[in-house]
Amino acid sequence: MKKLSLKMDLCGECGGCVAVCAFESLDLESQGLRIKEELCTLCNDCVVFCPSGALEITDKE
Amino acid sequence: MKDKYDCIVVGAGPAGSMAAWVLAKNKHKVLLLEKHKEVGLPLCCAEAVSFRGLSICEQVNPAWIRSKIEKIALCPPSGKELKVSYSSAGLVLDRKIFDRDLALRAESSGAELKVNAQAVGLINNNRGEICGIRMKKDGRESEYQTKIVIAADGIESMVGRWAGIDNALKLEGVDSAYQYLLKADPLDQECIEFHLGTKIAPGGYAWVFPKGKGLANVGLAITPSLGNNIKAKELLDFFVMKRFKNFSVVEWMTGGVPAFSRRSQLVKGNILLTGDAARLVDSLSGAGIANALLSGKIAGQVASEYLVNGGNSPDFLKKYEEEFLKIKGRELRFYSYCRKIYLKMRDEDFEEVIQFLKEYLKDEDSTRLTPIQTLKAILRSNPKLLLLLRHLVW
Repeated sequence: MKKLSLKMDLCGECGGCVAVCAFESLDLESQGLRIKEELCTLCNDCVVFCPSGALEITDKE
Repeated sequence: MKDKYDCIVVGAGPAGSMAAWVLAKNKHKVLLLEKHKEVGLPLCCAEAVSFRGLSICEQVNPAWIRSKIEKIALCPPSGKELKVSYSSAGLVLDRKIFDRDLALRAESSGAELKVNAQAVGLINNNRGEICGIRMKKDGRESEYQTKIVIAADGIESMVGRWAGIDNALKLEGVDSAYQYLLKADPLDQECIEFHLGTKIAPGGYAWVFPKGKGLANVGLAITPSLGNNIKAKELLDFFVMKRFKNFSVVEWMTGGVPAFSRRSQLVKGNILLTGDAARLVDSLSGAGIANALLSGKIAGQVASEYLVNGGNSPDFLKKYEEEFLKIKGRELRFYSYCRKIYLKMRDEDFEEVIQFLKEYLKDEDSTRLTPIQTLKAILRSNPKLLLLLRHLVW
Protein backbone atom coordinates (compact mmCIF):
# COMPACT_ATOMS: atom_id res chain seq x y z
CA MET A 1 0.00 0.00 0.00
CA LYS A 2 1.17 3.52 -0.86
CA LYS A 3 0.59 6.88 0.73
CA LEU A 4 1.48 10.53 0.19
CA SER A 5 4.06 11.74 2.67
CA LEU A 6 5.57 15.10 3.51
CA LYS A 7 9.09 16.02 4.49
CA MET A 8 8.24 19.00 6.69
CA ASP A 9 11.76 20.46 6.68
CA LEU A 10 11.66 20.84 2.87
CA CYS A 11 8.16 22.39 2.70
CA GLY A 12 8.09 26.15 2.04
CA GLU A 13 4.30 26.35 2.62
CA CYS A 14 3.66 28.04 -0.73
CA GLY A 15 0.30 26.31 -1.16
CA GLY A 16 0.85 25.35 -4.80
CA CYS A 17 0.21 21.67 -4.04
CA VAL A 18 -3.13 22.59 -2.46
CA ALA A 19 -4.06 24.47 -5.64
CA VAL A 20 -3.21 21.59 -8.02
CA CYS A 21 -5.01 18.96 -5.92
CA ALA A 22 -8.39 18.26 -7.53
CA PHE A 23 -9.54 16.20 -4.53
CA GLU A 24 -9.06 18.72 -1.71
CA SER A 25 -6.80 16.26 0.06
CA LEU A 26 -4.28 18.93 1.07
CA ASP A 27 -4.82 21.81 3.45
CA LEU A 28 -2.40 24.58 4.31
CA GLU A 29 -3.15 25.39 7.93
CA SER A 30 -1.61 27.90 10.30
CA GLN A 31 0.74 25.15 11.51
CA GLY A 32 1.71 23.92 8.05
CA LEU A 33 0.60 21.51 5.35
CA ARG A 34 -1.82 18.75 6.30
CA ILE A 35 -2.50 15.65 4.17
CA LYS A 36 -6.02 14.22 4.33
CA GLU A 37 -5.11 10.66 3.47
CA GLU A 38 -8.71 9.53 3.11
CA LEU A 39 -9.26 11.92 0.17
CA CYS A 40 -5.91 11.36 -1.58
CA THR A 41 -6.09 9.34 -4.81
CA LEU A 42 -2.27 9.16 -5.20
CA CYS A 43 -2.65 10.99 -8.56
CA ASN A 44 0.88 12.39 -8.08
CA ASP A 45 0.10 15.96 -9.30
CA CYS A 46 1.24 17.57 -6.02
CA VAL A 47 4.44 15.51 -6.10
CA VAL A 48 5.15 16.73 -9.64
CA PHE A 49 4.34 20.33 -8.68
CA CYS A 50 6.35 20.57 -5.44
CA PRO A 51 9.37 22.83 -6.16
CA SER A 52 11.49 21.36 -3.37
CA GLY A 53 10.64 17.65 -3.43
CA ALA A 54 8.91 17.83 -0.05
CA LEU A 55 6.07 15.55 -1.18
CA GLU A 56 6.53 11.96 -2.25
CA ILE A 57 4.56 8.77 -2.53
CA THR A 58 5.98 6.16 -0.20
CA ASP A 59 5.08 2.70 1.09
CA LYS A 60 2.74 2.58 4.05
CA GLU A 61 4.51 1.17 7.07
CA MET B 1 -23.20 33.74 15.34
CA LYS B 2 -20.89 36.09 17.20
CA ASP B 3 -20.27 39.30 15.33
CA LYS B 4 -21.77 40.86 12.24
CA TYR B 5 -19.59 42.39 9.56
CA ASP B 6 -20.30 44.16 6.28
CA CYS B 7 -17.40 42.32 4.72
CA ILE B 8 -14.90 39.65 5.76
CA VAL B 9 -11.63 39.64 3.84
CA VAL B 10 -9.76 36.33 3.94
CA GLY B 11 -6.02 36.81 3.60
CA ALA B 12 -3.90 39.85 4.53
CA GLY B 13 -1.62 39.91 1.49
CA PRO B 14 -1.57 42.92 -0.86
CA ALA B 15 -5.00 42.12 -2.40
CA GLY B 16 -6.77 41.56 0.92
CA SER B 17 -5.23 44.54 2.67
CA MET B 18 -6.09 46.85 -0.26
CA ALA B 19 -9.72 45.68 -0.24
CA ALA B 20 -9.98 46.01 3.55
CA TRP B 21 -8.43 49.49 3.41
CA VAL B 22 -10.88 50.76 0.77
CA LEU B 23 -13.85 49.36 2.69
CA ALA B 24 -12.65 50.67 6.05
CA LYS B 25 -12.04 54.15 4.58
CA ASN B 26 -15.66 54.11 3.47
CA LYS B 27 -16.76 53.39 7.05
CA HIS B 28 -17.83 49.78 6.55
CA LYS B 29 -17.33 47.17 9.24
CA VAL B 30 -14.53 44.96 7.95
CA LEU B 31 -12.74 41.94 9.36
CA LEU B 32 -9.35 41.08 7.83
CA LEU B 33 -8.23 37.52 8.57
CA GLU B 34 -4.67 36.22 8.26
CA LYS B 35 -4.12 32.55 8.96
CA HIS B 36 -0.41 32.88 9.63
CA LYS B 37 0.86 34.16 12.91
CA GLU B 38 2.41 37.15 11.14
CA VAL B 39 1.41 39.26 8.15
CA GLY B 40 3.96 38.97 5.33
CA LEU B 41 5.16 35.45 6.10
CA PRO B 42 5.89 32.93 4.71
CA LEU B 43 7.26 34.90 1.79
CA CYS B 44 6.58 33.31 -1.61
CA CYS B 45 7.47 36.08 -4.04
CA ALA B 46 10.27 37.47 -6.22
CA GLU B 47 9.16 40.97 -5.08
CA ALA B 48 9.50 42.87 -8.38
CA VAL B 49 6.81 45.35 -9.41
CA SER B 50 6.52 48.24 -11.86
CA PHE B 51 6.27 51.85 -10.67
CA ARG B 52 2.79 52.02 -12.14
CA GLY B 53 1.78 48.81 -10.39
CA LEU B 54 2.98 50.05 -7.02
CA SER B 55 1.27 53.43 -7.45
CA ILE B 56 -2.10 51.63 -7.19
CA CYS B 57 -1.42 51.73 -3.42
CA GLU B 58 -1.83 55.56 -3.61
CA GLN B 59 0.47 56.37 -0.67
CA VAL B 60 3.83 54.75 -1.40
CA ASN B 61 6.22 54.38 1.54
CA PRO B 62 9.91 54.50 0.45
CA ALA B 63 10.70 51.88 3.13
CA TRP B 64 8.97 49.26 0.93
CA ILE B 65 11.55 49.69 -1.82
CA ARG B 66 14.82 47.75 -1.70
CA SER B 67 16.18 48.62 -5.13
CA LYS B 68 15.37 50.45 -8.34
CA ILE B 69 15.83 48.62 -11.60
CA GLU B 70 17.71 50.53 -14.31
CA LYS B 71 18.70 47.69 -16.67
CA ILE B 72 17.28 44.44 -17.93
CA ALA B 73 19.40 41.50 -19.11
CA LEU B 74 17.94 38.66 -21.15
CA CYS B 75 20.25 35.66 -21.32
CA PRO B 76 19.61 32.83 -23.82
CA PRO B 77 21.23 29.39 -23.42
CA SER B 78 24.29 30.42 -25.50
CA GLY B 79 25.07 33.13 -22.94
CA LYS B 80 24.98 35.85 -25.64
CA GLU B 81 22.98 38.17 -23.49
CA LEU B 82 21.05 41.29 -24.36
CA LYS B 83 21.37 44.10 -21.84
CA VAL B 84 19.20 47.18 -22.19
CA SER B 85 19.08 50.32 -20.12
CA TYR B 86 15.55 50.76 -18.97
CA SER B 87 15.39 53.48 -16.39
CA SER B 88 12.37 53.25 -14.14
CA ALA B 89 11.71 49.70 -15.34
CA GLY B 90 10.52 48.85 -11.88
CA LEU B 91 11.36 48.12 -8.29
CA VAL B 92 12.26 45.28 -6.02
CA LEU B 93 10.23 45.44 -2.82
CA ASP B 94 10.68 44.18 0.68
CA ARG B 95 7.41 42.27 0.90
CA LYS B 96 7.72 41.67 4.63
CA ILE B 97 7.62 45.42 5.27
CA PHE B 98 5.20 46.11 2.40
CA ASP B 99 2.59 43.51 3.39
CA ARG B 100 2.71 44.52 7.04
CA ASP B 101 2.36 48.22 6.20
CA LEU B 102 -0.65 47.63 3.95
CA ALA B 103 -2.37 45.52 6.61
CA LEU B 104 -1.66 48.15 9.26
CA ARG B 105 -2.96 50.87 6.97
CA ALA B 106 -6.25 48.97 6.67
CA GLU B 107 -6.29 48.53 10.43
CA SER B 108 -5.61 52.24 11.07
CA SER B 109 -8.53 53.10 8.80
CA GLY B 110 -10.84 50.99 10.94
CA ALA B 111 -10.57 47.40 9.73
CA GLU B 112 -10.31 44.72 12.40
CA LEU B 113 -7.22 42.56 11.84
CA LYS B 114 -6.88 39.07 13.27
CA VAL B 115 -3.73 37.00 12.77
CA ASN B 116 -3.37 33.29 13.38
CA ALA B 117 -7.00 33.25 12.27
CA GLN B 118 -7.86 30.70 9.61
CA ALA B 119 -11.14 30.64 7.70
CA VAL B 120 -12.26 27.00 7.73
CA GLY B 121 -15.63 27.17 5.98
CA LEU B 122 -18.51 29.26 4.67
CA ILE B 123 -21.98 29.40 6.23
CA ASN B 124 -25.10 29.34 4.06
CA ASN B 125 -28.48 30.78 4.99
CA ASN B 126 -31.76 28.97 4.22
CA ARG B 127 -31.86 30.56 0.74
CA GLY B 128 -28.50 29.01 -0.08
CA GLU B 129 -26.63 32.34 0.03
CA ILE B 130 -23.36 32.77 1.90
CA CYS B 131 -24.06 34.64 5.14
CA GLY B 132 -21.00 33.95 7.23
CA ILE B 133 -17.62 32.39 7.80
CA ARG B 134 -16.35 29.78 10.22
CA MET B 135 -12.98 30.75 11.59
CA LYS B 136 -10.44 28.88 13.69
CA LYS B 137 -8.19 30.86 16.01
CA ASP B 138 -6.03 29.51 18.81
CA GLY B 139 -7.61 26.08 18.45
CA ARG B 140 -11.20 27.37 18.84
CA GLU B 141 -13.79 27.67 16.11
CA SER B 142 -16.21 30.59 15.92
CA GLU B 143 -18.73 31.91 13.41
CA TYR B 144 -19.01 35.42 12.00
CA GLN B 145 -21.85 36.87 9.98
CA THR B 146 -21.10 38.88 6.85
CA LYS B 147 -22.80 40.39 3.80
CA ILE B 148 -19.80 39.93 1.49
CA VAL B 149 -16.69 37.73 1.49
CA ILE B 150 -13.55 38.90 -0.31
CA ALA B 151 -11.30 35.91 -0.98
CA ALA B 152 -7.68 37.03 -0.98
CA ASP B 153 -6.43 33.70 0.27
CA GLY B 154 -3.71 33.20 -2.28
CA ILE B 155 -3.00 30.40 -4.71
CA GLU B 156 -4.68 27.71 -2.62
CA SER B 157 -7.93 29.74 -2.36
CA MET B 158 -10.03 27.41 -0.28
CA VAL B 159 -12.75 30.08 -0.15
CA GLY B 160 -13.17 29.76 -3.93
CA ARG B 161 -13.51 26.00 -3.64
CA TRP B 162 -16.01 26.19 -0.79
CA ALA B 163 -18.05 28.54 -2.98
CA GLY B 164 -18.12 25.83 -5.64
CA ILE B 165 -15.65 27.38 -8.09
CA ASP B 166 -13.65 24.72 -9.88
CA ASN B 167 -10.29 26.45 -9.49
CA ALA B 168 -7.90 23.50 -9.21
CA LEU B 169 -4.86 24.29 -11.35
CA LYS B 170 -3.65 22.01 -14.12
CA LEU B 171 0.07 21.23 -14.11
CA GLU B 172 0.57 23.22 -17.33
CA GLY B 173 -1.25 26.24 -15.82
CA VAL B 174 0.98 26.78 -12.81
CA ASP B 175 4.66 27.50 -12.29
CA SER B 176 6.66 25.70 -9.67
CA ALA B 177 9.26 28.06 -8.22
CA TYR B 178 12.14 27.98 -5.79
CA GLN B 179 14.05 31.05 -4.67
CA TYR B 180 17.02 31.97 -2.53
CA LEU B 181 17.82 35.29 -0.98
CA LEU B 182 21.55 35.29 -1.69
CA LYS B 183 24.48 37.40 -0.69
CA ALA B 184 26.20 36.94 -4.00
CA ASP B 185 29.04 38.05 -6.19
CA PRO B 186 29.27 39.22 -8.97
CA LEU B 187 26.05 41.20 -8.96
CA ASP B 188 24.95 44.33 -10.84
CA GLN B 189 22.71 46.05 -8.28
CA GLU B 190 20.78 47.96 -10.94
CA CYS B 191 20.13 45.13 -13.36
CA ILE B 192 17.50 42.40 -13.28
CA GLU B 193 18.40 39.24 -15.16
CA PHE B 194 16.21 36.69 -16.89
CA HIS B 195 17.88 33.44 -17.98
CA LEU B 196 15.99 31.46 -20.60
CA GLY B 197 16.35 27.96 -22.02
CA THR B 198 14.66 24.59 -22.01
CA LYS B 199 17.47 23.04 -19.99
CA ILE B 200 17.92 25.98 -17.62
CA ALA B 201 14.22 26.22 -16.73
CA PRO B 202 11.74 24.19 -18.83
CA GLY B 203 8.63 26.31 -19.41
CA GLY B 204 9.94 29.04 -17.11
CA TYR B 205 13.08 31.06 -16.46
CA ALA B 206 15.70 31.78 -13.85
CA TRP B 207 15.95 35.29 -12.40
CA VAL B 208 18.27 37.54 -10.45
CA PHE B 209 16.50 40.49 -8.80
CA PRO B 210 18.91 42.66 -6.77
CA LYS B 211 17.75 43.83 -3.36
CA GLY B 212 20.61 46.14 -2.36
CA LYS B 213 23.58 45.56 -0.01
CA GLY B 214 24.95 42.75 -2.18
CA LEU B 215 21.74 40.75 -1.80
CA ALA B 216 19.46 39.40 -4.51
CA ASN B 217 16.39 37.25 -4.97
CA VAL B 218 17.70 34.47 -7.16
CA GLY B 219 15.04 32.04 -8.25
CA LEU B 220 13.86 29.66 -10.89
CA ALA B 221 10.42 28.64 -12.06
CA ILE B 222 9.42 25.75 -14.29
CA THR B 223 6.17 24.51 -15.75
CA PRO B 224 5.93 21.22 -13.84
CA SER B 225 4.32 19.31 -16.71
CA LEU B 226 7.50 19.97 -18.76
CA GLY B 227 9.97 19.25 -16.00
CA ASN B 228 10.45 15.47 -16.39
CA ASN B 229 10.29 15.22 -12.61
CA ILE B 230 13.25 17.56 -12.15
CA LYS B 231 12.60 19.93 -9.27
CA ALA B 232 12.89 23.72 -9.51
CA LYS B 233 15.27 23.52 -6.52
CA GLU B 234 17.70 21.17 -8.29
CA LEU B 235 17.77 23.38 -11.39
CA LEU B 236 18.23 26.50 -9.27
CA ASP B 237 21.14 24.97 -7.36
CA PHE B 238 22.79 24.20 -10.69
CA PHE B 239 22.10 27.73 -12.00
CA VAL B 240 23.47 29.42 -8.87
CA MET B 241 26.71 27.43 -9.02
CA LYS B 242 27.18 28.46 -12.64
CA ARG B 243 26.15 32.10 -12.28
CA PHE B 244 28.00 33.19 -9.11
CA LYS B 245 31.59 32.91 -7.99
CA ASN B 246 30.72 33.34 -4.32
CA PHE B 247 27.41 33.16 -2.56
CA SER B 248 25.77 32.55 0.81
CA VAL B 249 22.15 31.55 1.23
CA VAL B 250 20.30 33.90 3.58
CA GLU B 251 16.78 32.50 3.04
CA TRP B 252 14.97 30.02 0.83
CA MET B 253 11.36 29.86 -0.26
CA THR B 254 9.07 27.92 -2.53
CA GLY B 255 6.31 29.35 -4.70
CA GLY B 256 3.40 28.41 -6.88
CA VAL B 257 2.47 30.87 -9.61
CA PRO B 258 -1.06 30.42 -10.97
CA ALA B 259 -1.41 31.39 -14.63
CA PHE B 260 -4.46 33.43 -15.70
CA SER B 261 -6.78 31.54 -17.98
CA ARG B 262 -10.11 32.18 -19.61
CA ARG B 263 -11.59 30.02 -16.86
CA SER B 264 -10.49 32.40 -14.10
CA GLN B 265 -13.62 33.46 -12.21
CA LEU B 266 -13.73 36.61 -10.09
CA VAL B 267 -17.25 36.66 -8.64
CA LYS B 268 -19.72 34.09 -7.42
CA GLY B 269 -22.80 35.37 -5.59
CA ASN B 270 -21.52 37.58 -2.78
CA ILE B 271 -17.97 36.21 -2.94
CA LEU B 272 -15.29 38.27 -4.72
CA LEU B 273 -11.99 36.60 -5.57
CA THR B 274 -8.86 38.73 -5.85
CA GLY B 275 -5.14 38.40 -6.59
CA ASP B 276 -3.70 34.88 -6.78
CA ALA B 277 -7.00 33.45 -5.50
CA ALA B 278 -8.56 34.66 -8.78
CA ARG B 279 -5.47 33.60 -10.80
CA LEU B 280 -4.81 37.25 -11.76
CA VAL B 281 -1.18 36.66 -12.64
CA ASP B 282 0.53 37.57 -15.89
CA SER B 283 1.05 34.06 -17.26
CA LEU B 284 4.25 34.92 -19.10
CA SER B 285 6.30 36.69 -16.43
CA GLY B 286 4.47 35.40 -13.35
CA ALA B 287 4.05 38.96 -12.06
CA GLY B 288 1.12 39.24 -9.67
CA ILE B 289 1.60 42.10 -7.20
CA ALA B 290 0.10 44.88 -9.35
CA ASN B 291 -2.93 42.77 -10.28
CA ALA B 292 -3.40 41.82 -6.65
CA LEU B 293 -3.40 45.49 -5.63
CA LEU B 294 -5.74 46.54 -8.43
CA SER B 295 -8.17 43.67 -7.95
CA GLY B 296 -8.25 44.27 -4.19
CA LYS B 297 -8.89 47.95 -4.73
CA ILE B 298 -11.71 47.47 -7.25
CA ALA B 299 -13.25 44.65 -5.20
CA GLY B 300 -13.25 46.98 -2.17
CA GLN B 301 -14.80 49.83 -4.17
CA VAL B 302 -17.56 47.70 -5.71
CA ALA B 303 -18.28 45.99 -2.37
CA SER B 304 -18.58 49.43 -0.76
CA GLU B 305 -21.02 50.64 -3.46
CA TYR B 306 -23.07 47.49 -2.98
CA LEU B 307 -23.23 48.01 0.79
CA VAL B 308 -24.21 51.68 0.45
CA ASN B 309 -27.03 50.95 -2.00
CA GLY B 310 -28.50 48.28 0.27
CA GLY B 311 -31.30 47.31 -2.12
CA ASN B 312 -28.99 45.93 -4.79
CA SER B 313 -29.08 42.25 -5.67
CA PRO B 314 -25.77 40.34 -5.39
CA ASP B 315 -25.70 40.53 -9.21
CA PHE B 316 -24.45 44.08 -8.68
CA LEU B 317 -21.14 42.61 -7.46
CA LYS B 318 -20.41 41.30 -10.97
CA LYS B 319 -19.44 44.90 -11.64
CA TYR B 320 -16.12 44.05 -9.94
CA GLU B 321 -15.27 41.41 -12.55
CA GLU B 322 -16.42 43.68 -15.40
CA GLU B 323 -14.41 46.66 -14.18
CA PHE B 324 -11.25 44.69 -13.48
CA LEU B 325 -11.33 42.90 -16.83
CA LYS B 326 -12.11 46.16 -18.64
CA ILE B 327 -8.73 47.43 -17.43
CA LYS B 328 -6.68 44.24 -17.38
CA GLY B 329 -8.56 41.58 -19.36
CA ARG B 330 -6.93 42.16 -22.74
CA GLU B 331 -3.46 42.24 -21.26
CA LEU B 332 -4.00 39.07 -19.22
CA ARG B 333 -5.46 37.24 -22.22
CA PHE B 334 -2.54 38.34 -24.40
CA TYR B 335 0.03 37.10 -21.87
CA SER B 336 -1.88 33.86 -21.59
CA TYR B 337 -1.61 33.48 -25.38
CA CYS B 338 2.13 34.27 -25.24
CA ARG B 339 2.59 31.64 -22.52
CA LYS B 340 1.19 28.99 -24.87
CA ILE B 341 3.85 29.97 -27.40
CA TYR B 342 6.56 30.19 -24.76
CA LEU B 343 5.91 26.64 -23.56
CA LYS B 344 6.57 25.41 -27.11
CA MET B 345 9.76 27.39 -27.70
CA ARG B 346 13.05 25.56 -28.26
CA ASP B 347 16.51 26.83 -27.38
CA GLU B 348 17.12 28.05 -30.94
CA ASP B 349 13.91 30.08 -30.76
CA PHE B 350 15.17 31.89 -27.63
CA GLU B 351 18.43 32.69 -29.44
CA GLU B 352 16.54 34.07 -32.44
CA VAL B 353 14.22 36.19 -30.35
CA ILE B 354 17.11 37.74 -28.43
CA GLN B 355 19.05 38.32 -31.63
CA PHE B 356 15.99 40.07 -33.06
CA LEU B 357 15.60 42.23 -29.94
CA LYS B 358 19.24 43.32 -30.17
CA GLU B 359 18.54 44.74 -33.63
CA TYR B 360 15.08 46.03 -32.82
CA LEU B 361 16.09 47.92 -29.68
CA LYS B 362 18.91 49.69 -31.54
CA ASP B 363 16.28 51.63 -33.47
CA GLU B 364 13.73 52.07 -30.72
CA ASP B 365 13.75 54.06 -27.54
CA SER B 366 13.44 51.14 -25.15
CA THR B 367 12.13 53.30 -22.33
CA ARG B 368 9.07 54.10 -24.41
CA LEU B 369 8.25 50.48 -25.18
CA THR B 370 5.75 48.58 -23.12
CA PRO B 371 6.30 44.84 -22.63
CA ILE B 372 3.23 44.21 -24.82
CA GLN B 373 4.58 46.34 -27.70
CA THR B 374 7.87 44.45 -27.50
CA LEU B 375 6.14 41.06 -27.46
CA LYS B 376 3.99 42.04 -30.45
CA ALA B 377 7.12 43.09 -32.34
CA ILE B 378 8.70 39.71 -31.55
CA LEU B 379 5.66 37.85 -32.86
CA ARG B 380 5.49 40.01 -36.01
CA SER B 381 9.17 39.45 -36.73
CA ASN B 382 9.07 35.75 -36.19
CA PRO B 383 5.87 34.24 -37.56
CA LYS B 384 7.49 30.85 -37.00
CA LEU B 385 6.66 31.29 -33.32
CA LEU B 386 2.97 31.44 -34.16
CA LEU B 387 3.34 28.16 -36.03
CA LEU B 388 4.32 26.57 -32.73
CA LEU B 389 0.66 26.96 -31.87
CA ARG B 390 -0.66 25.11 -34.87
CA HIS B 391 -1.48 21.97 -32.92
CA LEU B 392 -3.31 23.80 -30.21
CA VAL B 393 -7.07 23.89 -30.19
CA TRP B 394 -8.49 27.15 -28.90
